[in-house]
Amino acid sequence: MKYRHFHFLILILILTIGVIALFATIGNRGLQLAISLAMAVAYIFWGAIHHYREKNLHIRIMVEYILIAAIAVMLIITMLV
Amino acid sequence: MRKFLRHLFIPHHTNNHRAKVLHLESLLSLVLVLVIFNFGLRAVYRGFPDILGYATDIRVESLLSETNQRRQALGMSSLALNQSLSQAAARKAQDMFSHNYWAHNSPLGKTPWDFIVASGYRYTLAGENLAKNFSDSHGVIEAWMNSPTHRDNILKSGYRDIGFAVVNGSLNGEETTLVVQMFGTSAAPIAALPQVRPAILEEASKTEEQLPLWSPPPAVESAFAAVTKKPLFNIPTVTRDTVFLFIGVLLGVLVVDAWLTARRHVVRLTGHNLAHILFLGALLLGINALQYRGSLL
Repeated sequence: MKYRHFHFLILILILTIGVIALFATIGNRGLQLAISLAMAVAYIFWGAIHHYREKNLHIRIMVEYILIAAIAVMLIITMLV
Repeated sequence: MRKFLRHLFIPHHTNNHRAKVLHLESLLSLVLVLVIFNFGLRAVYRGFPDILGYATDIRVESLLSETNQRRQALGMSSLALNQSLSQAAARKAQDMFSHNYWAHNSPLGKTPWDFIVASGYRYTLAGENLAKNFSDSHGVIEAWMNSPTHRDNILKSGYRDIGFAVVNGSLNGEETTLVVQMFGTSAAPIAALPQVRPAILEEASKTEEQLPLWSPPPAVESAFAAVTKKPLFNIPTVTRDTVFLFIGVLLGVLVVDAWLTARRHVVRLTGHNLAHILFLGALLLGINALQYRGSLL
């Protein structure tokens, strides 16, 4: 169970760094889009590694992570119109 | 209707114990809806800027009064609005649009001081602040005051005069409202000008002959005094409301789904709701950073 806590701590760390980076680059929309894309990709990789370690990695689960990340990216692109 | 909403948002045997909006085909539909929404939004913005656009209200008089208020609050003297510096600022803004750059120095090597000298202002000390894509005058001054280098310019005791230009145009294909703020101190009338080395950059003296003196007609001058636009729908409001609604609904459905499936001990092959909640929560925080369009130089 401990590794699961560790995984979620890693995810929180990735997301925290991403959010701080977004605030640090206010005014530079290109960089903000790049940071958002990096966060989305990191999230998909986190999902893949986490479910692989939990021994329940399945294509449907990966598609779910990819779609949630895609929704996030589209929402960010909407904000950057 | 109630059954349909339950089917959409709450885990139930009718949706295989997973809210229908969280099914893969529904998530894919949401992505497509957002893609279409984005295309539509951009098309309306480009085609009908009076209906959907960026509300802007930036005026030179407000910029001047706020700049002087900030100086007076620290016991410093007010700056006088100088027509030559305003002309230099207007010319700089026009140059940025014509040569498509966002920088203090142009791609052709022109410095801010070249524009100041070309406007007929003989400076001993000069400075420049730039801002783009702010929605109001207060936001511009506030952002400059929060940036140490721009703040230093606004609060420099050596300056006596100030000039502004507020211009709307297209920069790198994006509709942009530029604000150019130029500071200066003029030693004396041109005839009696002593040979004083400029305080900012030594390049100022060598470029005096490169640009002809430029005096815009009054109609052109007034064109740089303000940018005010009030479209029917303000893009930041429309996009923020849409994005918050999307994330809010998704987060709500995920929280209810996580709670009910944990309570009912439902075993499913799905991603972690907690991970999705953390990711969308971070997005919700990050969205606040994306709301600010303005940038400084």
